[in-house]
Amino acid sequence: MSGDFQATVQAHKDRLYALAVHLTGDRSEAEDVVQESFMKLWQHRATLDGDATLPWLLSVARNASLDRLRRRRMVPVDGTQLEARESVEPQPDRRLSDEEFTRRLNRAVAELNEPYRSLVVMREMQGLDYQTIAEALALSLSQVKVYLHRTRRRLRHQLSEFAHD
Amino acid sequence: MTDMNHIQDCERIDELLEAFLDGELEVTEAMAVERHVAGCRQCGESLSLAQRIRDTLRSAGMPACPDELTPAIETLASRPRPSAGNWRHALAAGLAALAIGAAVAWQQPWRGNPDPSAAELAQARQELRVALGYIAEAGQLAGRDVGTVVTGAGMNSIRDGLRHGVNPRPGGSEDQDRSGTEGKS
Repeated sequence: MSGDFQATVQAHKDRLYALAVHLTGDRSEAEDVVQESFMKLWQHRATLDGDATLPWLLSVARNASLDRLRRRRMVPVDGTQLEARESVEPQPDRRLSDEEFTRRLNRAVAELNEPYRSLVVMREMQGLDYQTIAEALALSLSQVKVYLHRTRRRLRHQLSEFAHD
Repeated sequence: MTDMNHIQDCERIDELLEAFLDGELEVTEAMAVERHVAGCRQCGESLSLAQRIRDTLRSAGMPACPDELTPAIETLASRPRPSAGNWRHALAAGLAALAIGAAVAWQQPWRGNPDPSAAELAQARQELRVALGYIAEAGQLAGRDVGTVVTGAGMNSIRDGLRHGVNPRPGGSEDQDRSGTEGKS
C-alpha cells in the first residue's frame, strides 16, 4: 500500500476523529467516520493533490458525521430546561467556577447549528487556518470570518453571567 | 458623553471585540477599542470573557484516535476492492469478518478458553473494524444503508462488548483523551 496514504492517515486521523467526536458526540460513531473517510480517500486518491487532501477529508468526515446524526434523529438538549433546574448561585470556589464554565461552554457549542459548530471545532479547538476551513465547509473566506465572529459573540452572550468572574 | 452615546459606543465595541482579539482591526479601530475598554467596566469584562472562551476552547485539545484504527484502515485499503454491482461480495466478506471478530471476542469454546486476552480482543476489534468497512462499502455499492439494515443495534452491542472486554475495570477508558473540556481546569 502507498506510503503516502499511510503518512496521510497518520497525519490527519486525530484531527478527523476529534471533529467527528465533537459533531456526533459518540466515540464509536467517530471511529466509523474516520475509517469511512480514509476509505473514500483511498478510492479517490488519484484525483486529489496534496494541498486539497486535508480540506477534502474534513468535508467528508463532517458530512459523514452529520449523516449519522440525522439517522439517529438527535434532538439537542433543551438548555432552557436544564438551566431552570440548575442553581444560578455564583460559585465561590474558582475551581468549581472553571468547571461550570467549561461545562456550559461545551453545551453551548454542542447546541450550535451547522456550520457554526464545525467552525468553532475547526478554528477554536483545532486551530485550522481560514483557507482550509473555507474549503472544507464550502464557504468563502469572508463568510468564514463573519460566521466565526458571529458565533463567538453569540457564545459570549450566552455565557454573559461569567463576565463578572 | 451622554449615556446614550456611551451605550451606542458599547454596542459598537461589542461588535468589534472578536475582530480585535483576532488582530483584524485597522490600527485606529484597535486603538479605539483599547481606549474604550480601559474606561468601561462592562466592555472590559466582555473582552475578558471573550478571551476566556477562546482560551478554554483552545485548551480542549483533541481526543486521540484509537491506535487500532490505523491497521484496520490499512488492511481494508490493501485488499482488492469489490467492483460496482458486486455489493453482495462485499457484504459477504464483511459478514465473514464480523463472524470472526465476534467469535474471538465472546467465546472460544473450541479452545476451552472462556476469557479472551487483551491481545485477542484487540484482534477482534480490528476484524470488527474491517467488517464494518466492508459492510459500509456494500451499502454504498447497493445504494442502501446496508450497515444499518443488516446489523442495526447489534453492531453497537458488539462494539460495547469489545470495549468493556478490553477494559474490565469500571470507569476505565482505552481512549487516552487529551481533551480539556471534560470538566478539567
